[in-house]
Amino acid sequence: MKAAARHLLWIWAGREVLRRPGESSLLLLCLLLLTLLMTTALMLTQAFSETADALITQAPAVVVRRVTAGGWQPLPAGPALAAAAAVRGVLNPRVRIWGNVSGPQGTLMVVAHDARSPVTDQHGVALHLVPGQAAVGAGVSGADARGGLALEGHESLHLEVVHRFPSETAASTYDLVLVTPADARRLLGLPEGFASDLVLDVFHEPEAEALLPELQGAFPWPVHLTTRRMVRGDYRSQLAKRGGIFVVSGLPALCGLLLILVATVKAVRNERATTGLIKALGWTSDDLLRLYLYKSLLIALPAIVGGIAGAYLLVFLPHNQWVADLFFGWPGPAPPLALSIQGVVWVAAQVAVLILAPFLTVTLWAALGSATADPQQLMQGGRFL
Amino acid sequence: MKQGLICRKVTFVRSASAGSTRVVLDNVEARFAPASRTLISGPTGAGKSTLLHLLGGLERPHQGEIRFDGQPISRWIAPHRDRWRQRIGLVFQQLCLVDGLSALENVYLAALPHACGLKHLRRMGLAALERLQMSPLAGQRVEALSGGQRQRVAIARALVHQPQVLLMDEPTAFQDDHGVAEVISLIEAARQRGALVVVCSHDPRLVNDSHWSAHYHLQQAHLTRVADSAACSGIQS
Repeated sequence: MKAAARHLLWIWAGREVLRRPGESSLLLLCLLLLTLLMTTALMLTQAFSETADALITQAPAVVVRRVTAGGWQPLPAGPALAAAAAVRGVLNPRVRIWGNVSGPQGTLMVVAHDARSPVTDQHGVALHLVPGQAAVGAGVSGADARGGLALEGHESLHLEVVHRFPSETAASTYDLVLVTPADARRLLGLPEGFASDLVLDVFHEPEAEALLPELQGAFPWPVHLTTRRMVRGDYRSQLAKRGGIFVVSGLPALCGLLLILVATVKAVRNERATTGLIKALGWTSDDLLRLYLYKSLLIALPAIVGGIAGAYLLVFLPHNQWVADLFFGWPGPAPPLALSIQGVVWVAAQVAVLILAPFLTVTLWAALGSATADPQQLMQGGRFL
Repeated sequence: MKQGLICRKVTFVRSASAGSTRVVLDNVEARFAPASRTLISGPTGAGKSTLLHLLGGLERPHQGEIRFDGQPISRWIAPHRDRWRQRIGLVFQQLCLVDGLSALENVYLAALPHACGLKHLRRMGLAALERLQMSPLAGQRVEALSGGQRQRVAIARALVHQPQVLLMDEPTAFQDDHGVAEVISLIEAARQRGALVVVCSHDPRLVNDSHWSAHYHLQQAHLTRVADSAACSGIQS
């Protein structure tokens, strides 16, 4: 075939696709749904992983918690800060007041607002909270009609919600209730001078691991130390468990893919007589393989692009909560997840390997059997479709 | 084209039921000269279609060879035989039109490997249908056409790229006398532009035409030359 006429093959492939609108639409729909299902799982995993990595990178290098046989205990802020500061290599030691309390619709994380590092809203204006007020994350629900939020901890408090972090805010604010230190102490039962934990920074991340033995001995009570690397490991193991769930949920998708592939092979074989005729009329084996390739691409590419776009919307569209609820069990709106360009490319590459490559390979493999046979052999006993 | 098509001791065996075989063509010798029109007659099932398919490179003989201008086309590898078929126009006895496509699109099928663009393709297709007075029905689906109209579409498809070799299997089976005359004039026009035409038929209206360059008769797997052009007149199959 002349090079100038090659584009005619695309037109003819389009005509062939439209000649059987029902079959073509059904195949496109099946591939689209399959892509949507698999991409949603892959994209959610990738986005969760990247978001967690970003959060961990911003977190303190080491978290120090006082522990006893009964679990974690509040630590005295002054002696803890002094002990940490005495260790060479420790930077910026500071204590935090935070903990979990019961909200109207589940557990929420209460954090004391630190006046030294003020929190700003989306317009860059610093939040000023007074006792009895709270700023809450997008995942905090159950506020009453007057904007009040009832929390049950060591004490019961009824707070006025004066600010709600938008859903685009970092995932760490998802179930957060920001209150004054005094309210936080009342809710968590922390006496004055005590804190939930102590955090510190180091010059270089690897130093955190090296400082652990020294830190362990620096405090006059038993402590549990957590570095970023440990947190990252925890997240990854949780994700691996989720990955196992995805594999189980992906099995029906793989069965669906197999059915599509078998149906594709049968469809190509059913067209043997027509293939033989076209070959008898002067088409080369190369032309026929191209025709099958173009036909497959005309169906598969829109399906895959549509499936990926749909999955992207499901995962990243604000206020869309059922996907996160399905995969992670989040009751409210999903926290905002982030996905880098590399992450998108990685997911697209996985979809290409899992769906597009098998589909094209099977189509071309089936077509190769027809395209290389003698025309008469293909036409014998065949019906022209 | 210098020497045309030559069959040398061509034998073709077809599998029959229960593992037995049937010799369809036995040591067939023939020469089809350039710019000639040759008729092959013979009873139904004699192997006329098989011979045309062998000439067209649709399958290979089991013994012997077919040469075109000295080249052993029947021994060529598949990609070369693909190229060979691009030089051929073939009218099938069963017409072999593709249902679901229009008359024009069926003609496109043969023109596509030769076209330089969509406009060129359309021009070629419409011109071929015009020659058969079928252009008003170009947009009709072929399954909605009559037998005679379908056969005209099949002939237009074979002629669309002005092939060097035109092989026609019972091209007048569904035609009335007027249609037969048109087909004969198309065959003659193809010959005059230098094409080699081979027609298989047992239609007396074709056999009685006096302008065949050569006439072969195929019976019981053997091909015999009946007469030369001048003597062809009046031969009945």
